[in-house]
Amino acid sequence: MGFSILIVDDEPDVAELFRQRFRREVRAGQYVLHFAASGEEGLRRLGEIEPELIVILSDINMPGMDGLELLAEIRRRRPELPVLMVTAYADDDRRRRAAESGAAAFLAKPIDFDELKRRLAELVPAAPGGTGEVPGR
Amino acid sequence: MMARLTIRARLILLSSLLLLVLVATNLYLTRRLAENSAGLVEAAKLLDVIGEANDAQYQFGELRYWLTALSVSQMAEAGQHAATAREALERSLDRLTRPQPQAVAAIRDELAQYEDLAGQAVEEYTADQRDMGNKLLAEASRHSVAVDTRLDAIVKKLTEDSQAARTRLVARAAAAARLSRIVVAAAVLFGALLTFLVLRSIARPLRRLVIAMNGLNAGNLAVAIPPAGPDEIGAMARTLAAFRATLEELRHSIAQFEALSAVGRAVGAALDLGTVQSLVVARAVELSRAGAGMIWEYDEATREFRFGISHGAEPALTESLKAHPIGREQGVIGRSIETGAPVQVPDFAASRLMLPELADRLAGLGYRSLLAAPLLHEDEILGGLVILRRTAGDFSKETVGLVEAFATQSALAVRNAKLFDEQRRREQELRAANDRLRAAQASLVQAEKMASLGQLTAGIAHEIKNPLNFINNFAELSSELLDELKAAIGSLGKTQPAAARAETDEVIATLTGNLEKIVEHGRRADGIVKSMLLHSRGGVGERQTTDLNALADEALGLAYHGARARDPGFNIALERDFDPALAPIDVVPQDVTRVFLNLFGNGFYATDKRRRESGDRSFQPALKVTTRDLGDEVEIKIRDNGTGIPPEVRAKLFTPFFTTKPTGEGTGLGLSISYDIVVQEHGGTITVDSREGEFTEFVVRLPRHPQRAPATVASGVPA
Repeated sequence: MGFSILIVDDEPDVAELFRQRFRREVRAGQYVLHFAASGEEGLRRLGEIEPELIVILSDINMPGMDGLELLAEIRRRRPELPVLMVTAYADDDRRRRAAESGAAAFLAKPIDFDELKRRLAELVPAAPGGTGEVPGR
Repeated sequence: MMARLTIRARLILLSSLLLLVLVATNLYLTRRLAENSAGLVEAAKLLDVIGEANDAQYQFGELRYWLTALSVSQMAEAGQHAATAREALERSLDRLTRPQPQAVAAIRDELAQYEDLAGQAVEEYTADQRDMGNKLLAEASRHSVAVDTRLDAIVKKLTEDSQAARTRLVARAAAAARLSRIVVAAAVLFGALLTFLVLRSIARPLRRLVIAMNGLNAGNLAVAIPPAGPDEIGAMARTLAAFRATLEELRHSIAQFEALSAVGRAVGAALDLGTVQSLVVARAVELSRAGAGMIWEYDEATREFRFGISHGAEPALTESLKAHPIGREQGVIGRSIETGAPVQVPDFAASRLMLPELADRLAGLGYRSLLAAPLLHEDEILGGLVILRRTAGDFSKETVGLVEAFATQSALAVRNAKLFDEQRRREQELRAANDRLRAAQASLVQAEKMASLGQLTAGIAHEIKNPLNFINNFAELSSELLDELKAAIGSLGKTQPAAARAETDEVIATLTGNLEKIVEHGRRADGIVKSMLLHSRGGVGERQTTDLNALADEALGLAYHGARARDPGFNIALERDFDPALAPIDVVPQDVTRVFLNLFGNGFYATDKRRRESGDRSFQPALKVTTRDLGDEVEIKIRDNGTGIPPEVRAKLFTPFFTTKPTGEGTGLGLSISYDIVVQEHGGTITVDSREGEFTEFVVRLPRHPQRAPATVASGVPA
């Protein structure tokens, strides 16, 4: 049984890119990828994602609710859920604001997928019988 | 001797002597002449007497005849004749009585006897007593002879006397004439000699005077003026000497006036203070005939007089004076400031006013006296003018006045110079402020331009970046997928014909190649986009205290090796002129390195281009890097001897995407980014100077304390 990752980005090809990049992990059942095209959609689907959602990756610049608003809302609803912010504008101001809003990390586009995979591996709860308590399991 | 007499006395003496000689000669000759006239009168008288005597002789002869005739003839008329003769004789004898009294008396006596005898004879003859008559007549004739003889003697003697007198007179006249000739000749000679001497005694000193006058007239004050005697020429010589003294004084006064006016002119011409002060001291020393002079300047901050400049002073003295300022209230200068008037020390040995060690030092160099005049302007103390002399004694009133006048001029010059400096400083400040303002304005305009261009660039970059990411990502993925496909086909391949397998492999290889090309060009495009995005990345790097020399050196090495790596044939002479005193400066090192790399790279490119285009084998590409610490800022100059930049290109130099390089060789962003880093990020300036075909020089100036906060241009780019 794998873990779910929610990717929020208004760019449709992002889904395809992630699918291909993570095709081996998905095929191996390690991760299940979920996509939302907007912040609102991401929030809406938050409760229905199966299996266990361990991380949300969100773009910042999106029409409607942007990434930072989404981040704030998720922090309110699911404070334990780490959110990684992804943006092409990797400037200090955004970094600072993201960090202040409780983002777990800040990733610059283009995404370095090897780096992302390393970070995800760190977020995966320890094997059953480990010390980590996994909610909803 | 003559010079002791006045010329008037000399001339009077000369005239008197000549007059005296003339009068004496005249008197003498007159007397001689008078003597001769007297002699002539005597001689004439003698001749009268002689005539009288002859007359008497004749009358006596008549008388005798008639008496004889009477006696003989007894004729009455004879008696009458005799009586007439007798009367005439008597008159003659009367006349002879005075000159010859004795002789006449004797004659009268004889005559009386003769007449007596002759009378008797007549009577005898009358009485016819002839014998008796004859006898008496004979006797009477004896007396008549005596009378004749005596009369003859008188005549003879008088004639002789007259002769002698004439001879004597002639001789005396001749002697007088001779003497008068001698006297005249002597008088002429003496007069001539005297005149010569007198004239000479006048002419010689006069000639000397004329020479002296001519000399003076020609401006030669050193001309010899003849010694002044007691005479009129002496008076003239004295007057001339006085005139010369006046002339000297006048000349001195003129020299003083000229010096003062020259100093005044210099002061008015607002020459630099040093020149004016040198002039003042030099002229003051020359005109007061002093040994040395100096100006001390007052330093308001330390309340001390500092040695300024000197004229004629020994180098050792000036060195020692420079090292020892004099306190405001100390010494002679302090006193002159206090009194506001010149103060003199006639003799160091007797002065209590002077600082003892200073007096000793000056005395050791042979100076004996000094005069100090204050440099004051209204109530402001400016310094002192000091004149040193090697002789003791009071300074003349004239010298004191002169030095005071010079001090006044000097003070005026100091005052003027101060005002002038102040004005110039203000002017410079104004100009600098104006320049800064204009530069700021220009750079603001430029910055605005660049900022908007940068924003545009960043915007474009962002828009391109996303699709490019997809291209790159999908190309990479496709490449991976092809590998997987190849592996899958490989596992299936055993069942496929070899020909079909070879064809499949070939297609896959071509696809792989194509994807590699896509990845490669995608990466290039990504590089460009990243460069573009540097415009928008505000304040990414952190400022660090950096040794710019080391940074430049490192960048130079990097650039050189980079260029060699791209083109092994590349070569260039690198010159480093680094300021060893360059203090570390706070900059963002990686950004500044980026600027260096850009500028060095451009320089290399330009020199190499020139080498290639000129085809000149002797051309030696060179690049020189100079660093200078300018205090508030650091200057880095990068100069190459490459192709240079045409003026029309220079204007667009810092514009993004502007490049003169062939497509693919340059992004057109290097200088644009460098501009951003230097101007926006570090608040500095970057300027370029170039001559086509000769050189290009970039000058980067980085301030130690940027006026503006590092700009974060384009940080707020809208998505």
